[in-house]
Amino acid sequence: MKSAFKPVIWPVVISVLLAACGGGGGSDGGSTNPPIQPANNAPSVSAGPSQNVVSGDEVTLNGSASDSDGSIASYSWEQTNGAAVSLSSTNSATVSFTAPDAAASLEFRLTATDNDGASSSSLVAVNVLPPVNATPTVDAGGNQGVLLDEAVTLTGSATDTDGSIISYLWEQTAGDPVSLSGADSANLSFTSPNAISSLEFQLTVTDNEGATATDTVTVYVGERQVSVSGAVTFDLVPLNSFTSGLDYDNTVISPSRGIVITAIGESGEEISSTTTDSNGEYRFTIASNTFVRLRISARILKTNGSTYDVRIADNTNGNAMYVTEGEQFNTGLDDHIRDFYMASGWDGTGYSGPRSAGPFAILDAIYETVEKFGAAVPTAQFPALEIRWSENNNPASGNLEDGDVGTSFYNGNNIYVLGSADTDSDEYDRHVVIHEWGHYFEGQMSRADSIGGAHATGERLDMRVAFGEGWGNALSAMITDDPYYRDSFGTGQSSGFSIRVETNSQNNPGWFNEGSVQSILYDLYDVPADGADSINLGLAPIFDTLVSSEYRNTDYFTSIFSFVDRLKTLQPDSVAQIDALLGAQTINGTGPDGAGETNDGGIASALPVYNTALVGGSAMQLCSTNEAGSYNKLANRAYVDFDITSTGSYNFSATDTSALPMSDPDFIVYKQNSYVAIAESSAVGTEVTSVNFTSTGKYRLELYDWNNVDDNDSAGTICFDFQITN
Amino acid sequence: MKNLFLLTILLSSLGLMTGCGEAPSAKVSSAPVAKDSSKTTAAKDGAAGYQKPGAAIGFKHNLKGPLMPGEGTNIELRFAAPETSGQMDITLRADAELTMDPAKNTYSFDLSSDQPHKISLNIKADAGKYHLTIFATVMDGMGQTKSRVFAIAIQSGAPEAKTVSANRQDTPSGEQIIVIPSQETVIK
Repeated sequence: MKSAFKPVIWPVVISVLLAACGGGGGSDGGSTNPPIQPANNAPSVSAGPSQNVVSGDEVTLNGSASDSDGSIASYSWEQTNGAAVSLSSTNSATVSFTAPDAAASLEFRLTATDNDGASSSSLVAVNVLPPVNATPTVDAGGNQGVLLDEAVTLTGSATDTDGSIISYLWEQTAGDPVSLSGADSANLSFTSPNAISSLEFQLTVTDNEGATATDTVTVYVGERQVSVSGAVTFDLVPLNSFTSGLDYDNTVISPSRGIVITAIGESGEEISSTTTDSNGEYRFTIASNTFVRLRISARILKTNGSTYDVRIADNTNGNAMYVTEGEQFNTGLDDHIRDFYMASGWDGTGYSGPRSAGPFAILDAIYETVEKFGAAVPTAQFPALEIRWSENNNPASGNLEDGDVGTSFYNGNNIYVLGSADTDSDEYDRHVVIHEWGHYFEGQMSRADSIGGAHATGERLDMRVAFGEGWGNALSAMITDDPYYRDSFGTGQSSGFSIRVETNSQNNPGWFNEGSVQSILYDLYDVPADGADSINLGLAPIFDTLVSSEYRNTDYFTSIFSFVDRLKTLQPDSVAQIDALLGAQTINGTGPDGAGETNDGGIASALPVYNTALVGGSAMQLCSTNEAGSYNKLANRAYVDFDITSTGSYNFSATDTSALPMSDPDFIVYKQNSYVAIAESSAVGTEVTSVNFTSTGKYRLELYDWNNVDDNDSAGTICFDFQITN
Repeated sequence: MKNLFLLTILLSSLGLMTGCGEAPSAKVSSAPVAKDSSKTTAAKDGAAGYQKPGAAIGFKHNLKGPLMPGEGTNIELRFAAPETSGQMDITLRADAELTMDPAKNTYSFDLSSDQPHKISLNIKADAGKYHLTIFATVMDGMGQTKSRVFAIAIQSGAPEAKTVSANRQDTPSGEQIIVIPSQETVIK
C-alpha cells in the first residue's frame, strides 16, 4: 500500500512553503520553471531461476516483483519461445503448465507493472528433457514347497508402464542344478531333484528401452508336504454400555479374521503365505524337513471378489508394520498345529504387559466393515490403506512421528488412531475407528468436500462438515448394528461418552446438523421403523450412491442435498419415504443445491443455500457471520454458483459494506471439488482478483470474512457487495 | 497502512496459535493463489482438519516454543463452548515431572458467563518432553454429556535425538516391521 501522499506532491508543497517565507527560488531568480518531479522508479522483477524439467511434468514458474516507491499493480506472463504450452494463468506472480511431451527449450517473460504505470520484465528458460524410461516391474512368484522329483512350473509376470516387455530370462542361482525349460519365457518348468534341498531362481526382464528388472523365488524341495495350521486370536475389550468406558472384565478372546500369516525361512525369506478365515483359522502346506517360523502380520488382505489390503503401522517407529512371530521349528514329516494369541496387556489395574492386541483390534473393526460392504456389493474394490497406531499416540497436536497426533483422524492418505493409555486410546473404540474409515471411504472412493474442524451433534455446521461427520457416525452404527457411538477415555479407559445415532429429536435440526444427517442415513439403512422411518435400504444403495460418478462429479458441494438427490434417482420407488425422513429433520430443499430450502437455522444469511451470481450482472449482497461459531459453522461462508459461458479472464470482487475496520473478505473458486482460484490477500475491506477460465460450465465459490473462519478471531456479521465482471 | 500492518501482525500471531490445535495438513492446492502467507488455506481441506466426534469445545493455549529447564513459564488455557447454559468441567493432569502452579487440577465453568473460560498456570520442568492432558466435559442442548481430551506436548530444553526401537527390522523384501510379542501354543 502506498502512502496517502504521493511523492510527486512533496516538491510542490515545499515550493509553496518556501515562496510563502520569501525564500527559495532557483539560481535564475524569478524563474517560472515548474518544480522538478522525481521520476517513478520502475519495479524490479524476477521470473525465477531457469529450470530443467521432464516431459509431462507439472511446472511452476515462481515469479516475484517489488517496487521501491510503490506497489505492484499487475503481473503478465507470456511465452516467448518454444513449443506452445497452456499457462494456468497469465496475471499472477506464479503460473504453472504441463511440460510438452517431447524435449523442448521454452522461454517465458514476466512483466510487472507498478501503480504508476512503469513496467519491467524478466525472462526465464525452461529446458524440457525427454521422458525418462520407467524401469519395468517383475514378479517371479511366491516361494513354494514341492516334493522330490516333481514337475514344477514357476509363473513369472512383468509390466512396463511406458512400453513393453521384450524378453524374459530365468536363471538358477542356488541349489542342486536342474534342467530348465522355457527359461526365455514368463513360465519356467523343471523337475525337482530327488533330494531335500532348496533351489533359487532369478527372473530378469527387459523392456523395449533396454531397462531391466530382476526378482528371485525360492523352491523348497521336501520328501512330502506337511500341513501347518492353527488359530490366531486376540483380546477384544468391549465397551461398558453404561459408562462407555472399556470393560476389561468382559474381555473376549476373539478370532483374528482375514489376517496375513506367513511361513518365514531361515534367511528371513517368505516360504508361503495365507490369511486366516472368518474363524481366525489358517492352514498352509510347507515342504517337509524345512526350518520355518510363522509371522502373523497386522494386515488383512483379500485379493479376489471384493478386495482390500489394510495394515497397521507404528507411526512412532518409521511406519513399520506390526507383526508377531513364533519360534523357529523344523517341519519334519508330520503335520503341525500352532495357535497364536495376542494379549491386551491389561493386568486388572493398568497396562503392565505389551499391548499386542491393539493393532489386531483395529483391524477387526475394519475387517467387519469391508466384509459387510463386500457382502452387500461383491464388486467393491477398496484401495490399500495404512492405519497408524502407537501406544504413544496422544491428544497433543505436533509431530506425528512423536505420537503427537491430536486426535484419531484421517489425513487424506492414512488413518491415525490414538493409543495413549489413561488419556485417550481408541484401538478398542470400534465406532471411532469405523467413523474415520468412513472419511477414508469418502476420500478414496466417493467425494469429500468437508473442511474438517471441531464439530458436534446439535451444532449448526457448514453443510459439508455436517454431511461428512454425519456419514462417519451413521456408518459406524450401520457396520456394528449398534446405534450407540461410544468413545472411551481417561484413567483406566474407564470413562466415555456416547451418541445415539438413531435419535430423531435434534437440537437445531436441519441440513447443517450432523445429528440430522446421521439420523437420516442410519434410518435409510436399518430395519426397525421408528418415527418417520419406514424404509430399509441396507448398505448397497448407500454405497452405490456415494460411489456414483454423478455424485462424485456434482457441480455442488457434497451435502445431504447432493446425496439425497442422487439416492432418489437410484431409488425412485422410495422417494416418498426418503422425503419423510428429510421432513422429520426439517429439511425441505430439493436438488443437489437444496433449492427452495426454508430452514435457515435461525441465521437469515444461511439461505438460500447457494446464491446464483450472474456474470456481468450487478453486485449482490452476501454475508459472513459467526452467529453459530467460527471456521466451519453455518453461514461462516456464503456459497455462490455461477455459469461461465465463454473462456477468458473474469474479475471477482467483494467489498465490505458493513464498514467494520478489520473486515477481510476472501473467497475460493471451485470446479467440482478442485480449486480454481484462491483469493486470500490481507487487503482490508476488499478482495479483488482476476481468474482465467479455460473451460466453460458451472463453477462455485465460497465467500467469507477471514476473521470468521480463522479459529482465533471473529468479526460478527459482515456483508459484502460481490460481483463478477468480464 | 496502519490497519494493514496491524492485521498482518495479528494474523501472523494467530497463525502460530492455529498450529497448536490442528491436525497437520495434507492437501496442497495448485490453483492460482493470491494470499497472505499467514493464512492457512490448506487447513480448510477436510483431510487436514478432521477431528473425531466429541464435545463441541474449543481449546487454545498460548505456549510457544520450549521451556527453559527448571524455569517457570506462564501459560493460559482457553476454552469455549456453544452452549449458553450448563457447566463445563475441566480436569488437568500433568506428567509427574511437570509441575503446575497452582496445583489445582479440577475446574468448573458456568457456561452462561462470558467465554472463553481461562485457566492460567505456571509450569516448570527439567529438560525433557512432557504432556499436560486436559479432560473437558460439557452437557449439550439435548442433555447429553460429551467429552473431549486435549493435550499439550511440552518440550523443556532441546529435544533429544529419536531412537529406533530394537524391535524394528527390515525384511529381505525391504519391508519394515516391528515385532510385538504373542503367545504361541504348540498343539501338535
